[in-house]
Amino acid sequence: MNTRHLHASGQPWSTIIRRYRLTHNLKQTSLADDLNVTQAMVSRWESGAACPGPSMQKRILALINPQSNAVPMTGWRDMQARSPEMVAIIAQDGRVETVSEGLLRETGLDRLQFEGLRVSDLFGHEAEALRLHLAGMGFFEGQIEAVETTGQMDFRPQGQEPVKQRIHALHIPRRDLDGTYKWIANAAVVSEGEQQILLSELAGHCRIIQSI
Amino acid sequence: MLQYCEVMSTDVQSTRDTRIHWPSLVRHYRVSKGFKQAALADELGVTQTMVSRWEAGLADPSARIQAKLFDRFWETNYAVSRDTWRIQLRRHPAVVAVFDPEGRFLAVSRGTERLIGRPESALIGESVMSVFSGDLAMVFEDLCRAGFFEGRVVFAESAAQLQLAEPGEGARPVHSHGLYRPVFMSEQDIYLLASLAVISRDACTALRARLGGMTMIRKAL
Repeated sequence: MNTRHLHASGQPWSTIIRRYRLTHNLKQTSLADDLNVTQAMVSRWESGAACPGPSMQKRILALINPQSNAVPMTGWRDMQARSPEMVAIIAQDGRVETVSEGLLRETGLDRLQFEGLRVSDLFGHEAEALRLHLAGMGFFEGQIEAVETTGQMDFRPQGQEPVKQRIHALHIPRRDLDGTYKWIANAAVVSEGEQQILLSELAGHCRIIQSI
Repeated sequence: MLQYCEVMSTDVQSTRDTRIHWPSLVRHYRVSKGFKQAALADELGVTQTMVSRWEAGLADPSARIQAKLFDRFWETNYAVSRDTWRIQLRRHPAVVAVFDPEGRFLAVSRGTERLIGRPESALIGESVMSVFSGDLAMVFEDLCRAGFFEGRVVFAESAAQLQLAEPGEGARPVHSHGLYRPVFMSEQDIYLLASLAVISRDACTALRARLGGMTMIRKAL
């Protein structure tokens, strides 16, 4: 493949565009509208038959990186991406779709690196076990309003050994545009003393929060 | 199971003039949904001409439409009822809080209690100025001046120093990243939903460069 077709991260533009579109539940026509091109052009980029030019590459990166102030950001997912806290939006299969700026800061990753990662890659096997536990409760069928947990998680700062941290987390299901439920995981690192208090408040590591 | 507990103080009355600026609000909602004027007109059951008049400031939506817009804003952003959201906010691990136009705490998260070192009961009704000193009070003033509580702001971010007005033993000022959004918790008032994280000095410097200063405010119009 011609290197012209590769982004600086080494990934082909076709992959970057397609992944952005799919993780944001956009049709080719909607993305085409956002970029002021035809749907046929988006299709050609995604198939690798054409490559966006330099100025278009900038616009695409601006869409992908909400750090750029140039793009109107208004949807709930975009707001989560901008969030200073640690937030991850995760699909039922464990694929991490969107992470917040706070989480990028904690893990030292950039936005192009985390997409396509799985929750176990980011937080270790405890997080994967939690995903299965949530799924078993009907979390991804919208049967639960929220789940509060405290425990240990591996944080994997880029290029470094995983670091175990005490975590307080709130897990909220959110119905996406395509009708599937996404897992919004909000987390904070807490002290040992605070974790003891949480353990007694939650009467364990995990509590379901229902308003009715 | 948690019992629902009323966290909004009903006796707190706003004295500031915060008449809602409907052209901003209508346009913010429309653009956030990716709607053309005709599509919004369809959703609200009015003519496209009417939407155009609202956005031009030639007419205000009727009380019924105003309430509908507040509800739609809510549904689009939160997907759960306001009561459910308040319960979840109280248990939120991060620093999240809701403020009224006077800068008083209306709701706080668990993370906020941890950061400030005071329980919810000691924070509700307190003003942002009496809890924080320095930058954060200035950010709040910037937001007010930009018409935040009139609905003129889509969102704002800050890279500010965070200092408690009554710091505990050995507490030093830290740096923070803040995100501020309007929240449509009642049917007629706009409140401020703030989330905050403590960040390193270097991260704060980089953030300031991106925001072009301490506060970046994105307006609807």
